[in-house]
Amino acid sequence: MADDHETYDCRTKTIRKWPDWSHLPSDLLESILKRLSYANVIRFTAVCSSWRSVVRAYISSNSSYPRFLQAPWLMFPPEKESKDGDTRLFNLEEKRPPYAVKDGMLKKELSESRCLGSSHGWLVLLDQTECLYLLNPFSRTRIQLPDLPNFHSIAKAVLSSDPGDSNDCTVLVMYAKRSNLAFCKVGDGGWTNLDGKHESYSDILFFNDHLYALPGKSSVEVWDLYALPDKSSVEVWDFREPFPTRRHINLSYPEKTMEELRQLSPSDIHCRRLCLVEWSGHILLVARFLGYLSNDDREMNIKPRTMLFELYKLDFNEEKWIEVDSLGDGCLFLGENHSLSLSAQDVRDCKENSIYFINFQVKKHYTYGRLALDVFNLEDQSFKSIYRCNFWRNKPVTDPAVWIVPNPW
Amino acid sequence: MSLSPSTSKMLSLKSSDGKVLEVEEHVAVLCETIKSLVEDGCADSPIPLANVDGATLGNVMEWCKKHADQKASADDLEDWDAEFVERDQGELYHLIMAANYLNIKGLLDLICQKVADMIKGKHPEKIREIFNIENDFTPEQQEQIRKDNSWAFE
Repeated sequence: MADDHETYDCRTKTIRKWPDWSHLPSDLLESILKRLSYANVIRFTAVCSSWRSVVRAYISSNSSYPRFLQAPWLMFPPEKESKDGDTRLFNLEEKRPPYAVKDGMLKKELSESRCLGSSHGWLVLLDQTECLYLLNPFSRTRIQLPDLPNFHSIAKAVLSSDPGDSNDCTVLVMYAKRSNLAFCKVGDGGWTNLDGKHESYSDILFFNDHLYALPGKSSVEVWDLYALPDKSSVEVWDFREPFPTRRHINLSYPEKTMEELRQLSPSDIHCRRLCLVEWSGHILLVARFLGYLSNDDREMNIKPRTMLFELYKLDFNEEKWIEVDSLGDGCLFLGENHSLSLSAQDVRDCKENSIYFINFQVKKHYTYGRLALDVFNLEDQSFKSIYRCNFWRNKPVTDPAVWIVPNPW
Repeated sequence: MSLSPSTSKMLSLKSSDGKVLEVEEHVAVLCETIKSLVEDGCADSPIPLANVDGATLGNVMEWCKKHADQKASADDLEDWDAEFVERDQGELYHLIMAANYLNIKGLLDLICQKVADMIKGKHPEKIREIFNIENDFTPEQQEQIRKDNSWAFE
């Protein structure tokens, strides 16, 4: 090969020719590329023009999300010690401190808007002028959404698909003290309310073209996405035995189950949070229990910590929740914005049978707080800390950290 | 045709630089390219492999021999593979080309993963150095790439 470099090898006393990898056949470069995650794909692109064209060809021929199997990144406000005001991006895969968002416009948007959700690589943001929009922070693309009268009261928003990819993306919001649901198709002029049970919803999820909502008591509401906006298609499944588990944890918590919970954990269970996540073709209900390790904790006014997780999968035939002891090779990433799951076989740097979750400690109306990214291993029931920091923000925060899968293409 | 170790016969393979290697058939047929020749009855003796030099062919057959050994456990193979790919970029280059030409999926996956691991977390300049690649971007393109993804090159 004409471009081969020659070097003298002292060991063998011969001249070695080093091959030039820029012209490796493109199918081989593609096989290498497919094993890289976002940050490394970007670096791969910047090596030389032939590698760059392999990336471009691969992306244009693989249009479905996600193009690269990778762990989500954690986006959070500036660390308290840093006065630069940069939003941070923490990549689980890389053993390095968080990246700082340096782009001025993006930095301003991220620090001044309230994040209501994160799906398919896009954030749902509400800016200071009450303008609701989608932002892909890695491509810096914006998509405007129509006005909703109760903008400030949106608790969470989810997307049905990658809006950069299809014309068929639906945005669902939970608003008005979590008691109302409304949706709009990206590109449409307005919102349609869904006539659900009007209880306080714990969580909402898109799954297999259906929309699932978890009201306070013993049911799951299911809408057929393709039948929308025909409101008559709503199907409410009432489960007579909502959480028929060995441990008898049911939704009338806490009165009935306090004693049983105390037996499970040395702590005093303080509260429970519920969320929905798709896992390996199932709908998974995750119950996260917060509590105090000891009375000292409570007296010292330390915030309750995550003590325990319980997992249930939805059995569509039996119409009940079935307890799950193991995630197999799966791992969950839990967040207020949007939870997701992955296979640890696809993402080699994540631990299988584990739950990655975020603990915040933030006082209402205060602009600073503490953030901890921890992982719970279901196998040995252990907790491990991955990253901790103090953060501050130029406005009151409620939900400062967001999982996002880079998807700029 | 039985390919079990007990009845396996020997195949002669001839490298691009004229070296002839005697390999048991059940080992050599891990290469899909050789397997098709054998199955079609088109295997000359020796089989000419015009794209693989003798040293690389020796390395490839070492890998095939280990992976044809039915007594090897999965853990054992994993450790052995990890050691097998501890090579300089020159040897890896010839191996990846040979694994592609001979159509050995397991070996190709192994080397692609190794190369991906060598790229991970490294600055583009360092990647160019390792893989002997010339930076052929114009200064304008270079600046644009850097601007688009400034955080990735910190």
